[in-house]
Amino acid sequence: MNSVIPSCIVKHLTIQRMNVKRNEQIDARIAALLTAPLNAWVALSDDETRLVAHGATYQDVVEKLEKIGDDTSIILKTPPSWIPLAV
Amino acid sequence: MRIPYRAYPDTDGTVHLLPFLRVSVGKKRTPLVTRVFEAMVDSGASDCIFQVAVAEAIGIKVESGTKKQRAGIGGVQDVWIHPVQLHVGAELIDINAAFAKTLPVAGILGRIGFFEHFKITFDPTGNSPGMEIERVYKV
Repeated sequence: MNSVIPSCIVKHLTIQRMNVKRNEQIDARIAALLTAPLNAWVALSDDETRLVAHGATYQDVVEKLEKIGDDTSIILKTPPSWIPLAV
Repeated sequence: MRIPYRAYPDTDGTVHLLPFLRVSVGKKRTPLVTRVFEAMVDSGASDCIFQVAVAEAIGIKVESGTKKQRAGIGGVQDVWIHPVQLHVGAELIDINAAFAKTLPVAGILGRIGFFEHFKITFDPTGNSPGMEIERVYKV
């Protein structure tokens, strides 16, 4: 079966089935991402628990971070929908 | 070095832990470098692909690069190749990266440019899924 399914999908299915122990940091990251707009660029705090900025473009987010003097946040691109990734 | 998988939500309320890594991309022979962003580690990807915004942030005119195509589950799309520097922690690697106008994530770290420089061990077992990452220096 694995020979006909792209490796990235197999990897994802494996992760999806895992019984992972949730913790506060994971829950905070998920909460932050769920408040972020879709198909946008976002910045999470370095500990990934807070949404610091978001914008339609990468440059929008960088400008917002520079305005507040933030040089530690992590930038992400949110997908068009939070459906599982298979790129 | 062990990097924990990163949590991403699903529309059904579940959480997926996925192999994302903090990286940045620099323009060669300049001090220009992007902010740190999360890129997906994908052993199924042929090479490293980033959003065009990543190139634009360091002053690269994307469509001046060599035009190629890449196929994924979403179909075929045009990409443009540019030499850049990939920053992974303290490591700095010269790579030829592809830049695409449509990606669901900021970047994808694939075999050429990433896996040829790092030994990656995916470990999704247990309560702390993550990946072991080790720089490999070829003689």
